[in-house]
Amino acid sequence: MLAGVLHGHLAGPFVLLALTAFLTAFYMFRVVFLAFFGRPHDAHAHPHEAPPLMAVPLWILAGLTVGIGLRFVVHPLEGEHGPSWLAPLSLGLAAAGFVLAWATYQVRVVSAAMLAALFGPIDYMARRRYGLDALYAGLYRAFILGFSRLVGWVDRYLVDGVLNVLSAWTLRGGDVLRRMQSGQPQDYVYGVAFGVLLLFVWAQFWR
Amino acid sequence: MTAGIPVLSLITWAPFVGALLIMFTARHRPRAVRLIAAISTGVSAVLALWLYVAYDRQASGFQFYEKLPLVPPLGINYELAVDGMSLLMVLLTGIIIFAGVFASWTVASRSQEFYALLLALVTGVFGVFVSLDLFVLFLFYELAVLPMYLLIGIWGSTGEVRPRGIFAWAYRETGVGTKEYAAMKLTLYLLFGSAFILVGIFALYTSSGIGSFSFLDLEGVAFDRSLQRWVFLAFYVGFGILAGIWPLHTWSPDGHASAPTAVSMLHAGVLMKLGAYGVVRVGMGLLPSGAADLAWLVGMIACINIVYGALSAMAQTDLKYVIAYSSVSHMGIVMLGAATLTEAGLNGSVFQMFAHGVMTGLCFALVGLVYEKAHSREIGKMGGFGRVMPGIATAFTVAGLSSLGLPATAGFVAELLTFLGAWRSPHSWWLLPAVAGTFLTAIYVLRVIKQIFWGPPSPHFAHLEDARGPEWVALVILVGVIVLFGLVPGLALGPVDTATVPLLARIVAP
Repeated sequence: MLAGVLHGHLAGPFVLLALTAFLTAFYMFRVVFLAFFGRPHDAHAHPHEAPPLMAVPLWILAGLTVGIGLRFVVHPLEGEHGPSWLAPLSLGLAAAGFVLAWATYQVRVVSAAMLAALFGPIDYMARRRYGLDALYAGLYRAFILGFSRLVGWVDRYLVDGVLNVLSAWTLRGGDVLRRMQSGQPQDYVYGVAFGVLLLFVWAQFWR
Repeated sequence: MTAGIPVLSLITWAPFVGALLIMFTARHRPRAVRLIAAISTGVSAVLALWLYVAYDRQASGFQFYEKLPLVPPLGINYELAVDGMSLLMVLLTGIIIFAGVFASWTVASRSQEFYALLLALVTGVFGVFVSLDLFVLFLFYELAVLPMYLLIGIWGSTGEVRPRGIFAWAYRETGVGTKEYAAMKLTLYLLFGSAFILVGIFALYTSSGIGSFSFLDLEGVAFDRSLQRWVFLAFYVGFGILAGIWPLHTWSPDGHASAPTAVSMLHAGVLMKLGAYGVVRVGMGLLPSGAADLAWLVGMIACINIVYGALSAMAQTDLKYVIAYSSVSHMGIVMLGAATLTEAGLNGSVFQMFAHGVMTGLCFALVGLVYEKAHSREIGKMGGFGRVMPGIATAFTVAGLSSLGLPATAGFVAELLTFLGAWRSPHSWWLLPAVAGTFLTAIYVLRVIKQIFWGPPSPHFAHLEDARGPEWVALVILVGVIVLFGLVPGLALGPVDTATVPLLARIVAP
């Protein structure tokens, strides 16, 4: 990859990739030194070897990793290999990362806290995952959950509300119209008389 | 047709015979009631399965035709047949009702009347799917709606809705939240829709001039273009109310949440598909240019359905309401597929009818089990149920994954086909709300599953247990169907395609 990037005359990406090679070696061996070497943190912890069911696949994968790497050293790939200083440079960067990790976390001659302080702002951001998680959570809560609550409220109280209003009006209308049935024959006679009057008027106008 | 056995009539009327037997012979004997119900729905389910296998996938058009004159002077005949689309729907109904009978095993009071009403309802549903005569279709449709009132009003559950907003006075007056309210609202709303359907049917009958209600006869009539437009609108509104189109969908959340388990399964799983089936079969089948003119409206409202339903589902605190709004959202996918007027879209629409029917039937069955064991539907109080009910948790997770369209589930095939259809339609932008809806669905489905089943155990519940005995029947069948049709979608798409291609050929003129 470094060769390809160089071939494409991409200076920025080359620097970043080289830096990444150094950093990868550093953080990987930091984990190795902290987890597997040195003094145990907790005197009461009793870690044990993984059972064969887990360990054997790990050994196979490790063997394949080393094997594939060695194969391409012995039989290099076709294509661009880059200038002769490239391979020693990348190996050197990896070795430098290993040495720094060893120095900081195994023999502890370099202080980890001092290294962190050296890269103050980057350290601060990295510990807070560059704010991305907080940003996503904020957007989710504000927009998606907020909008969903709005839609839920609109559906329950406005869309359904219109329906319930129609229903309530029907019930009220029924209550009002019910009073037409007064049970008094006089009212019904008035009704019939009024209706006949209307019919006369209508017949006159629509002759 | 094999030796003239009226298979479709058997499938349709077996549950009704079961209902009659239950009413007249099984008083005060709950086990006999359940046995009769299981056998009669079993007969329908097995025959539906046989029908599915015996269907000739090479031929298009209707098969297993039966005809019996009812009122010859008016042109009303008892005409039954299935094509690829209704075949899948008959299969769906058979599966869901068979599972539903087992999911209702623990109905305590008056199980005799409950099962009788349920079986009568199922007869109506089968009848709508297989009926070729519009008048008889309408009769079966009413039979499928009316028992709902009693089923929800008597055996349903009452929730609590606090009146808020400017219309709060109306909520207090109408008693929102009670099961009687949900029952009345659902029945009246669906009957209101059926009024539109009846108007449409009569409009076609009178303007065709051939004096027949038969679908086959009316298919050949070329109706006037403006007539087609408003009659299609009438059918769209009428059937669409049952399908849960926005904004005419609000009967659905209350109805589903208040209904007993099997009724919810049947309703969300099958009845809402009746509405979509009506739009496609009657609306698009008989009024091709009306459908083509108004497809933009159907699609637009479908997009609203998808996103609106998903957002509403996210905001709910009651588990049944989450699934009810999820149904509203997924019916949007069904209607979207139909509106695209493409082969992929329409196939996706019919497949989604099937996939969602099974999936939502499973969801409601599971919610019914959880409610029965925990006596609560409040998601906020639940947690860690997966520890004590791993079977239910797994089934619920499969249903949820089908809902959000994970490959290897039936929901994925449906959604993929629908999205493909949306892209290929004249309104490609429909793809955006559809995919956004899937994203939102993933959010609320996974969140609900996490809140209820995974995580630390909730302090509110103790002594919960997993499904047992007959309860497993529903779960295993439905999960199996979801995965089977997710892995081998050709089982369904084969026959469906023979139906959708000719239907589309009439609409999208070559």
